[in-house]
Amino acid sequence: MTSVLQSISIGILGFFLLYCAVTLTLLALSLREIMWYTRGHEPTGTRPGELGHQPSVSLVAPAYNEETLIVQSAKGFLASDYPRLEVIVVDDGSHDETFARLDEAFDLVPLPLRGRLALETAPVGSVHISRIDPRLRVVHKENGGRSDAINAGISVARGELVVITDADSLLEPDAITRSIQPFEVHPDSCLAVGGGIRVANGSRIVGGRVVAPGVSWRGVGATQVLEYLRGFFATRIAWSELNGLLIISGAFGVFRRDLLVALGGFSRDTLGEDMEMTMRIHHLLRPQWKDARVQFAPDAVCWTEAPGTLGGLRNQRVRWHAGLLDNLRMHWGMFGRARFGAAGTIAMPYMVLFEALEPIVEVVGFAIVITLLVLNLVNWTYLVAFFLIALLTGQVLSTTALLIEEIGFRRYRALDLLRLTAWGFVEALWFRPPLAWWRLKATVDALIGRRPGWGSIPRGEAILERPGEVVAPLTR
Amino acid sequence: MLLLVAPLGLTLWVLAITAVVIVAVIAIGVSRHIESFRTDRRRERVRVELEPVFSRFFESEDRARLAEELRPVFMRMDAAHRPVAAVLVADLMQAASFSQREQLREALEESGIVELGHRGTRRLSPWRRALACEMLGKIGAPRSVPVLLERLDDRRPEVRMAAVRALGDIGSAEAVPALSQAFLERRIAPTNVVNNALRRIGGAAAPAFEQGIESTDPIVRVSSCFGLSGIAESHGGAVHRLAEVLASESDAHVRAAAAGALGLVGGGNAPAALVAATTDPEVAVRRAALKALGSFDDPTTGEAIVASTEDDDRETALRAAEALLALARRPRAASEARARLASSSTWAVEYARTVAEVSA
Repeated sequence: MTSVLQSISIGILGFFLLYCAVTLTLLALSLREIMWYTRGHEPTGTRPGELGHQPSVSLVAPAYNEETLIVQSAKGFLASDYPRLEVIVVDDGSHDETFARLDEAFDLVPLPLRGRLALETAPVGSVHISRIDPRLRVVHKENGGRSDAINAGISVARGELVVITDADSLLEPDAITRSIQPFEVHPDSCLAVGGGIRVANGSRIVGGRVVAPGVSWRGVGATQVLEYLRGFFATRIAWSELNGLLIISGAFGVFRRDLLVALGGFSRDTLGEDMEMTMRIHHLLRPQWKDARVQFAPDAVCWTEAPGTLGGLRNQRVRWHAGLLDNLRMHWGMFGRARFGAAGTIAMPYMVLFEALEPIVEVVGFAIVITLLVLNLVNWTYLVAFFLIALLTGQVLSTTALLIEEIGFRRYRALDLLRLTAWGFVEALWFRPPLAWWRLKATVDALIGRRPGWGSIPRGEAILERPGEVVAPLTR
Repeated sequence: MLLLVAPLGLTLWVLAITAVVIVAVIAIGVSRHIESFRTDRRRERVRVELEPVFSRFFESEDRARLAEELRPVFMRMDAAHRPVAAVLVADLMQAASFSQREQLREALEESGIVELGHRGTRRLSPWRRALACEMLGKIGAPRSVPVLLERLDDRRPEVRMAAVRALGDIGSAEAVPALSQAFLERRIAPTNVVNNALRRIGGAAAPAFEQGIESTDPIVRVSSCFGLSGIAESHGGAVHRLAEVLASESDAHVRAAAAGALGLVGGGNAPAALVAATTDPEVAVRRAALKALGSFDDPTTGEAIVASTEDDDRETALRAAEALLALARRPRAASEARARLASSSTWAVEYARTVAEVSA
């Protein structure tokens, strides 16, 4: 019995050390990039107008039962400083007054709806334009889910680039301008760009805009601020640099419209449609388009309200994990294969090991501790020492993420950073164990064919059709 | 979970090292926080020192006095202040009028600041090299060209990009051979950045784009089309060349680029190749051609445009309708286009008309 536990412990130790080494390497890479970014961005960073013209942009925001927020959100999107913008709000068959509120606030006029739409979706009832602000279009359609609504928006969009966001997301006024800069500098290779997502819990919001970033006084909100800083700003910068970014968040991503249409739009069969689209871009295009890039723009910021309770967090994380497993299965063909570049050789193994399998390892670790306690085999000195190591190593990652935030972005006050540091110390005690448990539960559910939310388990192959045409470069 | 594996001594060592790393990271964070305040103060100090000097120049336009005053101010600054001053100078150059810029440039050359910039391009720190390139570009002294050409071989892409842009800002034909080579070989900097620099040089860059049209690389061909449109004012043959490309090119993306580039030039009579492109088998070409036709004041194109309002492709039909509306606002083509609009009842025309009415 003891030798079995010992073998498992050695395995877990190896896993733990590998995780720390890889994550610290990513953080170091991000830190290096952020140093350049902060020093060089103002004078030598990308310049708007590098294309010789500014590409037209369509922002697509699906909305389902968003009557309380939708008018303010639409006004927030229209407040963007990007000049060539159209905003498309897709009312995905809401049962509430979403459409009526928009009609009332923006004086909508119907547009003729004929001509074949680029993507198949649930029936689209009508498309409207606003008399108050003609940049606003509203699509009224039957309910078909988030992906379906986005696809409807893409179909009526006329911009060269499409920004995908959520109706309840708050984009900073310069977010779109900043997010398209990688397309301007690398028009012949940049296929998609992800923006930085920040947690709005605890921030002061006035008129749909975050005017004073802050940190929630509640542990769930504050810890998620830290988690997002680690996930988005500390590691995605590195993944982007390696060209191995496997996820562009659905809350704020920019894609070439012709590419989305050629790829058949967002998948309706997975809970992680944002990650699926990003992986599909790598999977289908990287082998034939060697210098194709999926990039991250950390200074293009979108604020989002994270779940404020453990219940809400559980639902979100179970859904995310189910989506992750769906997508890894669908795009398993990329695993370890050099022709997909870093996406196949580094990012996929990282996702499998440290995202998909990590909850299993974590829960097994906790189970061993409990078993040893029950069998009275515990050496308390070791237990405390190892617990401290786990705690402090996690804290190294969190503190480095906060350092990157402070060097690169300086959004938070010193007091907020100190509070985040403090939450980082206790995170392993109360936040990570339930997270591991929910993700393990999602794994078990996936294995037995049960899934949260709607729909059936996707077959995966169905959406892996080759794009009909190689999309044209944006080069000007 | 690991309590069966490692000896206690090793465990304590790991613990201690981890704690030291955390303290170090926190210390760096705190020092950066303090440094950011110091940078703000530094910026303010430089501004306070330099702004009165430049204000006096803008009032009096006394170049000799500016040169005289600038030199000691710059010489007093240490390595931390000069980059801040460089940014300020670059901003001021951009804000100045053409004649003021000329005088500013001479004053900056006389006061030795251009020389300092030249030295800055060889600094160890890449962001300082890039900043120096940027400043030299904004100052626009032709004698900086050889220094910037050296930076085209810098190991950091950001510095190379800054050098390419600076060469474009200076606009000297001396940079054309190196930039042409960079453009055609697609190295040194992204195609668009080099293309932009060549365009800013103007007519002297035409051979680069003419050669680019013949390139085997379709991205260079696409970029060359837009390059030609960008220098059409100083290169008389640009429209003719683009029309030729549109008529003879086999790659649909290049044809679409040629059509799009023709649209950017616009003018009176539309080239026949552009009208023919409205029936091109490739959607991208039809779309680009129809959008382009809206930029020409040519009444004879109405028939082709109206036919395209019934195109199977939704975007093509919409672009045709928008082109017709655009023609209706042009002096020569207006009456013909209005008549066609009045007699058309396609959904695309109705759509474009509604958008135009609401937008008006």
